[in-house]
Amino acid sequence: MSTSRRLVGWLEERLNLTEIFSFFTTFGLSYGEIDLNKPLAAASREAFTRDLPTYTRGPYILGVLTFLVFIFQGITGLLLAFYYQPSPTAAYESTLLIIRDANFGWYIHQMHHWGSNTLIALLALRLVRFFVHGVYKKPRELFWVFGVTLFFLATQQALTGSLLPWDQRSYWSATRGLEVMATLPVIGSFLSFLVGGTEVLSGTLLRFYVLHVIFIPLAMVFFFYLHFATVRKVGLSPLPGEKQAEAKPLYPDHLFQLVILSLLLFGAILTLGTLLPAPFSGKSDPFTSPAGARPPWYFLPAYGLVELLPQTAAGVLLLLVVLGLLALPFIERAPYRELKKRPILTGVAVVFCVLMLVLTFIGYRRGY
Amino acid sequence: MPVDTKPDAETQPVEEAGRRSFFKRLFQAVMGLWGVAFIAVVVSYIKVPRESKGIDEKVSRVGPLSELPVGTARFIADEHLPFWVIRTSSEELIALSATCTHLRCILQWDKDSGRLVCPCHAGAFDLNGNVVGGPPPRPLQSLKVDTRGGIIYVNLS
Repeated sequence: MSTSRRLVGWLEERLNLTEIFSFFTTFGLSYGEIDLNKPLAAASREAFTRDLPTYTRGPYILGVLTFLVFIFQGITGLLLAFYYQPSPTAAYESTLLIIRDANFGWYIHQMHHWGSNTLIALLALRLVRFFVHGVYKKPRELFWVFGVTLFFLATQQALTGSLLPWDQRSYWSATRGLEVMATLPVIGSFLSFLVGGTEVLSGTLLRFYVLHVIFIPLAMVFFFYLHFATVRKVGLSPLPGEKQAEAKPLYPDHLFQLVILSLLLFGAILTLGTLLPAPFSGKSDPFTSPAGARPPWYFLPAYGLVELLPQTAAGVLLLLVVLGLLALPFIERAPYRELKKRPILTGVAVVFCVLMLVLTFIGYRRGY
Repeated sequence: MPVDTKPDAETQPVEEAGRRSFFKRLFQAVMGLWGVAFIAVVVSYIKVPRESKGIDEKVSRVGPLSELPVGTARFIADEHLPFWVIRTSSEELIALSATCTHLRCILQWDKDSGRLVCPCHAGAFDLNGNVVGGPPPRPLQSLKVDTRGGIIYVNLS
């Protein structure tokens, strides 16, 4: 123990460890300000004994879990990049090399696959929680805006990633997803411009790769940072009706809960990757459309809408939904946070969710 | 058995402390196992995989015997094991690894001296693969050559 203290002391004379600690707090390690003039031990003790709302000990800490899954995706993605080659001639073979020849390559591939689904699901759940607990109320409107942005970025990240294995299934699934994106009036044409067209051509793969490994991840890191920065400024929101006295410190209450929840979460990802592996079919063939190619599950409601309505109408409607979601905190500004006190909006949300389910079903059926 | 519901002032803290440190150790052990397993998976993944070669791929097809006159040599740029095939007489063929045992430069065939010489540090090998000059520490790996139906094959396994 004294050795580690001596090492910390030795380092502290040479670099500001508190500054490094503070850097990690900008990515959600702890909330609130850190005094850079204090030594690490004192500064971290201060940060870890700061009181947090009760929900940080419950299953509501989706934000930090989301960020952990995002880092996990970064690590597994980095490992996949050791072997992957983004060209139409080599992509399939290099994925095959990962899955068949590299040790645990299939496992890392599956973890990355299931990690991406988990990330989208967590971001969606987080929005539901924000809605139910009225987290987006003043002064936390930006929580919601960044949350919605992160959710859409994650779907784009998953869509670009789903093309990369270049097998028949992923190729046509990504094509269907691109069709949905292309119907959006302004965003669609911008995205088509980015990926070089509305069809999946040979040049598309490299662009998808660059978007997937550099562009979108950087954008997501930026929005995660913005989110944590907002949290540090305005503080975490207590649950509706919660008293200040119920707050508990970050350590040990919050941190141990976080460790337990993240172990359960990653255990679930590893289990799903083992028991329900994503299929890897034959090499993609742009001249043979397989029957029943659907877009990825998170695009199914939009796909259902595109299949039901004329393309322009569906695109405008989708764009309105996206903009409406982003603008929610500025539309609904009543100070109440309990669901009971905002019945109209709750009704709208229920109808919205039911519609999403119906459209998902239609999109799923239309896949054939 | 009567159950003592009152906390025993003397033994309780000791028991509590024992249980606490036990769970602490258990927690550290489980997290440590996770860490070790994770590092092991990553290391074994990054290690370059042995390519799953079929039987035919372990044999390299050099070419027709008729295209390799006596006294000439041919270089085969195999990705994993580059080698030279040298025809010393009408009957005899020699295949030697083309990688210098010194610092892994690719050896050149010197027709005049009948040796494989290294362009990097002037190492030299005779046709048995033995070092005859320069810094190389070990003799060259010799490969098995076969001629079937007038075609030269070299066994790379």
